[in-house]
Amino acid sequence: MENLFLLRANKQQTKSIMTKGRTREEIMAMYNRHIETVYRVCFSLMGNKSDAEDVTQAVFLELMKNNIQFLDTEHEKAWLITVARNQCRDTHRQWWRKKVVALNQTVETISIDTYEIDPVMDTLMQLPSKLRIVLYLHYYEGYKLSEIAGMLELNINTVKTQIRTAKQQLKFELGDDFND
Amino acid sequence: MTKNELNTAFDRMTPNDTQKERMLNTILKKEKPVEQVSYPQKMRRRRWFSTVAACLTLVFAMMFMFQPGNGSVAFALSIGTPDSESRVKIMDSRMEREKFTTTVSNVNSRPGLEFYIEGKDIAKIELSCENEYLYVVDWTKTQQEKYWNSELYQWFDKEKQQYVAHPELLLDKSCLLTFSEGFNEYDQIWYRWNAWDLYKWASADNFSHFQGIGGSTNFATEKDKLEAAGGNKSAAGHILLDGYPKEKLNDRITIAIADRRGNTITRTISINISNNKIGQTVVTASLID
Repeated sequence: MENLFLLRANKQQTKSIMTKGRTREEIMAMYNRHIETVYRVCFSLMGNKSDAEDVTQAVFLELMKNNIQFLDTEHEKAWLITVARNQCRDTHRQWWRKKVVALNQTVETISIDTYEIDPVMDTLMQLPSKLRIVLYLHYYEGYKLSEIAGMLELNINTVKTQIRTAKQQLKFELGDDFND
Repeated sequence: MTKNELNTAFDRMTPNDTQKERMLNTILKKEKPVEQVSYPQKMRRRRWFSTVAACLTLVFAMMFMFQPGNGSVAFALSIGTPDSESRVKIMDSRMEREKFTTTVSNVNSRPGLEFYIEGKDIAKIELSCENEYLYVVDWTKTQQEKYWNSELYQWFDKEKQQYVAHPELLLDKSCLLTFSEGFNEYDQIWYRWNAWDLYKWASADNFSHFQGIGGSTNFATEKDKLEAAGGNKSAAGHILLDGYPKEKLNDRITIAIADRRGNTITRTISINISNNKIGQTVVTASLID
């Protein structure tokens, strides 16, 4: 039961740096600052727009519920990425979740989800989501491997292996070497 | 492939303005605005909260005093040292991270149950059930290929122009999973219990035991059609259990976990399938210590 106690201790620590609440303007400012990153993380992990939107909304609702005080915008962003990853994992676990799409949204969804033929995008979407997310955080967001390990709660060696595997798979699929 | 090409692909994942607006509207609709509370109101509110808190503390203290045993709802099982702690977690549809329970009750027109196991240094997990079937979804792709390659048990039927699944190739009465040293993604492997025999019984004779279907596919309205699929809190589409052998409505899953130090532990999940008041199919599962 030691881990349970540890969990409670962490929660208490987190509570001590919480503020009393955020105004709508503050939330909107945070939303505008990070919506693209959070959405891309969710899209990388969920693999489709509909689920990515649902999880993105859940992430910002979590932000409003928690009211944690951030040291700077980088801290804010890293926290949101971690929450996004956790929310995606929880959503994946809810295997019984039912997809209900209103008829008036269907046309838009089809048009959004249809990409032009792009071998890079196509290959990227075929990668397992856990490899796609480390590629995204490292190459697009520019996070160091140790930072990624912290955010995704992984061992740094696991992150290294995942990046190497992803690069190998991309090279294999595209028949072209991956240049950093 | 270059880094630029990769980043261009990630750029294409960026949400457009319509999406951003739609998500923001949804978020703000669910937002509880922060109230600006004046000082006297604050005092009154604080006093009210203090009274309620005092009452609640008293109630909880009395509950604790008169409770016969330990009332903890969190279930954790330990093997070996605290470092090698393992937990079996049953999930329900409302599950949130860090919340788990020993009993779940799920309403589902296709009775099933899912759980996962967390731990460290686990060498082997063996599962078996008595009446129905088990299978495993392995997102880590470390176990048998049938647990992660769906093409091994379902393939495209050109005549029917649809994928046809062959559950008999996937479902088993027992499963054995072994883990190599250094493996730590135990929670990425999901164990599923499936009432396949019940489904076969219910779907025999043109789905005669499914409520609201009974062979008819002519639905008067779109709403009827939706309800027949089990939506809208209706019992339509659920399995009516009348006539099904009572002994088969209960099942037990036995889980045996062994860690690398040779410690073993066995836990059982007891399962019951029933119809609720409005005739929906309910799976109730309890983790037995």
